[in-house]
Amino acid sequence: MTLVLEDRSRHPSAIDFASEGMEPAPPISRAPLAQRIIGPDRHASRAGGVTIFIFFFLVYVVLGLWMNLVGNWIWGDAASRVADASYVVFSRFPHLGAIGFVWNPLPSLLDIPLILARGVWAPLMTRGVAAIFVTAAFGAGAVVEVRGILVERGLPRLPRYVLVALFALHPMVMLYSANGMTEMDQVFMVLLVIRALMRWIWDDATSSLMWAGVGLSLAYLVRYESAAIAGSVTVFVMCVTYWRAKGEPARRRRTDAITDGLVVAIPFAVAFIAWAGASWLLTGTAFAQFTSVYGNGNQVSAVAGAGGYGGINAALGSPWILPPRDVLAMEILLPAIIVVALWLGLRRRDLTPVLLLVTCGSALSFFMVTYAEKLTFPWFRFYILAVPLAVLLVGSFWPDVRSTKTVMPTALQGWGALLLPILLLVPSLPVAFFAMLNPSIGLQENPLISLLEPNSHPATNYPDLQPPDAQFQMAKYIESLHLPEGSVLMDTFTGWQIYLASQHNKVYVITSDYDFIRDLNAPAEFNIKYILVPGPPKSWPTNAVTQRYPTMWATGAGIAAQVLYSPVVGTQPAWKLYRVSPVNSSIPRIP
Amino acid sequence: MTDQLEPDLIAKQFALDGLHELHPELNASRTASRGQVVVLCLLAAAIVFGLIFATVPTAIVLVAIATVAYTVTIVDRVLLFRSGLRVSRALHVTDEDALAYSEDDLPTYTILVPAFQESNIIATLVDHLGALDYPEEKIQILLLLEESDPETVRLALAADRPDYLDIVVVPDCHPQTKPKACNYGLSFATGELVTIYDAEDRPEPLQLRRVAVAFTRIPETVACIQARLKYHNASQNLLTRWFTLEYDQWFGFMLPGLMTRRTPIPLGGTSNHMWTDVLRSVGGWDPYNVTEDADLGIRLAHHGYDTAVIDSITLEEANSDPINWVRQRSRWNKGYLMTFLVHTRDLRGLYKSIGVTGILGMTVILAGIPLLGFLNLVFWMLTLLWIFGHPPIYKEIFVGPLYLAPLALLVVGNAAIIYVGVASARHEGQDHLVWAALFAPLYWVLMAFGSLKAIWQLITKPSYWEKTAHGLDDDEKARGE
Repeated sequence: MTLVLEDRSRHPSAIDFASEGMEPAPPISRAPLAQRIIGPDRHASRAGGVTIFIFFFLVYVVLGLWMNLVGNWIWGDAASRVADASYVVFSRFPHLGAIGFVWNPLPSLLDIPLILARGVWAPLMTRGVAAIFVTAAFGAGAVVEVRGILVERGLPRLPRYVLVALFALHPMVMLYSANGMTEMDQVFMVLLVIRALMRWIWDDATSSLMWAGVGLSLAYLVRYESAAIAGSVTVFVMCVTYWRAKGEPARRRRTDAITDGLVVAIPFAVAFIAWAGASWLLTGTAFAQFTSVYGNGNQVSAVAGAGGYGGINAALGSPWILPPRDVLAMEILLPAIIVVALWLGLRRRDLTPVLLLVTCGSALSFFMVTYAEKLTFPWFRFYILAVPLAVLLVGSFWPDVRSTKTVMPTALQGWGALLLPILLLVPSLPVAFFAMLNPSIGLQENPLISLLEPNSHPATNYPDLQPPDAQFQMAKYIESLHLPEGSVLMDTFTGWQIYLASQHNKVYVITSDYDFIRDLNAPAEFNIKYILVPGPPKSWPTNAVTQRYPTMWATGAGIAAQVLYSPVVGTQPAWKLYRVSPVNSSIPRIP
Repeated sequence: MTDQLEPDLIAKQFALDGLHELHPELNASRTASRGQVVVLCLLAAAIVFGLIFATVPTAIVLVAIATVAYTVTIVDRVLLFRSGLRVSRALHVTDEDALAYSEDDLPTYTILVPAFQESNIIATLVDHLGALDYPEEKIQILLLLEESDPETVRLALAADRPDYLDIVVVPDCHPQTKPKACNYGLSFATGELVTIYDAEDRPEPLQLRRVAVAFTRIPETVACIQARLKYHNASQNLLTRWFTLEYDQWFGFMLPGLMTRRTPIPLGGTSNHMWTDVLRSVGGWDPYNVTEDADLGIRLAHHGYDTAVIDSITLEEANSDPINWVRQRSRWNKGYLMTFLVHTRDLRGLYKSIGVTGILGMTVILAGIPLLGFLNLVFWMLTLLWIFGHPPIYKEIFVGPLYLAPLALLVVGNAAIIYVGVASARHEGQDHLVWAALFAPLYWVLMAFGSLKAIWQLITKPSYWEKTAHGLDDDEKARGE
């Protein structure tokens, strides 16, 4: 069943307009939306999509709540993004710029409505549970998008169920839909782009290209490596348009390609420039992710300086080994899948495998390159796009129902339709699972084993699983002092967990406050009564207090006296609470 | 067939007063009714006093209203574009169907061609309209010349002209406008269908046939079919590119989108094809309105008639000179505001015929386009003032949501409009317009000046008709015309 691609020309006239100096517009295919979403399976309904969304959303939420509330597994990046949202709403100077410019803003923005409900359920903010709901929604949304892509492609029902299930139940997908990190947020956006571009491949419609553009800009607002995806997608679109315009004069082909490139790239460019502009206006640096003291470059060297990444050894951590190894650990049979998909795509003149490799592959390559340049960490989760890549590539084994070239390999007929995807994708589930549990691959994921087997792997062995009791107690102590607003100074880059745990956030003077620098330099003069100082050594290069007063931890820098001490807990540093001496005190002050 | 039809007093009476007799209040002989003048003066006074005595709260209210207005307009434009991309809502008649109709079945047609100070008018007309494929005995072209333009009349009478082309000399009386001339000509029209073409228009040859066929396929309530206007000199310079892009968007998706929303459509200046008896029954055109086409569109809706858009092109000449362009645009904006003022005098009747959505849509187009153009100037001035002066009062006005929302509009809203322009150029296959689309903000500056002039003229000389100079396109110059 083929789709009407050629549409009637918009300018049907008997007169040759070319003689008037005006070219008639080329035939533009604008097949109505309904005609594009057809397939042999007529049971693929919208209600099915809604059901799947609700089901997986609940699964991921339950999983996430269990890991966070029962297992005490609070992911640092996830919870500190919730903290970013809390600076916007609960600080002494509520302003959108408090959201911070080291990370891209969309995930924190989405946390804001949820933390407003902390009065109803405190853990939404104190334990960062808000992020879990956001991630679960994106994860379930990603499952629905995968299903939608396969429905539009026209896969028969049973293979489609298998593929969707093998995506939704992949251990990394499940974990990251449940833990509040932003990987699944981005996977969702990338799937939006893929779906729009798959439509565009068949209908060349402006609206499909525009949706791809919007998807790219949203993906950039989630994570910045989407810039790599945006760049390669733009080049891909331009090449495809150029190639498709074969019959036209060279100049026209070029302008067609440039036009299409503009349509797909402009929303991303706007997001990029607007974000960089806002960052520059508010913080002075346009690309804080890389250049600022808080940015990745410094963090990486700080970690490396403090002794490296735990279980990883130098040989396995090499930039030539670690990324490919991690990709294979995600989807063990990916190389075979790629080869088969490309071969079938070539025979059918189907661009889909190339499209998938361009979008997902560019993100994966981005991490390989930045890891090699020591600009980022060796985290397993960076390679999560390998999962939708593999699933959708297997989905591309079936010919697209919108195409006329329906070469169907015999292996896919009959029982093969079910066995082949199962054979190619099922092995990756246990492989990924065990990779996650392996401390040298799943550097951040391996505490999972403690949740599953608490007796043989007690939680005390895992810093990530230590409940933030110390921070909660520190917050509680500060609250018991009943201090006025703006009395306790801390740099939230390290102290976010204490901030999250507090009920009265306005007590704190935090990094995003307009008077932070002023108060940091002369705390006694500006009514700062207490200063929170984190312990050595990891956080010192990235903490404003210790940078300003290097001797504060040891001796109070001559301006303060220690009041409270809380030891290292899990991944959180030790903390000392210092009471600031009044201005006219006899203790000499360091100018 | 006489050379010149005698001035007919009845025709003159209809031309000047026809509409006035039908709807004493609903015409632009008075720009604003007494009630409207009172309301507008009170509003102006409130704003002025508020800004003087309670600057910050008044400013906050005004900025908030402007923000809402901008947001509604931008969202509306994007939604219209989106619906326009999906399905073409314009009527479409194939060549075969257009030609299939036998000559006996075709209705009689009158074409009104108002002209003023056009040299060589007959030759031009024969050249442009002669290509129309329609039986000669069923066509009547009425060339409407002004008594106060004797040179053109003399040249036209002296030239050779075909049988179906008659010359009508419109008597010299106030107001000297195109709609008055058309009304005068309407009295002599014999065709069942009537349309207007300007002297320089080049309709595609099958347009009349297509319209005739289309009328047989649509409900009786559709009394008017608007053809699509396009510019033949799009590549002449940046201004013509902008203008072409604007027209493409207007006729490509905005008008068709408005059509489906049952919002009254402001008609284009030419190529609007109507049933003659319907036109007479609603009172013809408003001789005092400088955008009589927009006014007619609303009036038709007022009487319960619909307008459709057809996929047939008339080529026009885009204004390539900025000064001339600003004059033309100021006339259009002035006319839009006049039309808005006229038709809102009878809100109850309007509500009965087009409902709330119709009134809102009408407001966004007729009042929104000129006023927002003017507001653009105001806000650009305010922004420049901030960049160069940082007046502290801004910190009291633009606070919280009133800071974020306008900022979002500035970045996202403007980007969205530019993006829609780029995508529309791509959609139409007009790659050479893409760069013009990217630089659209400069075009908005021109439009803002058009709005400013319009508002000024609305108060000082409402029925003054800014004549648009034609013949500025390159091939006309080359032919030495």
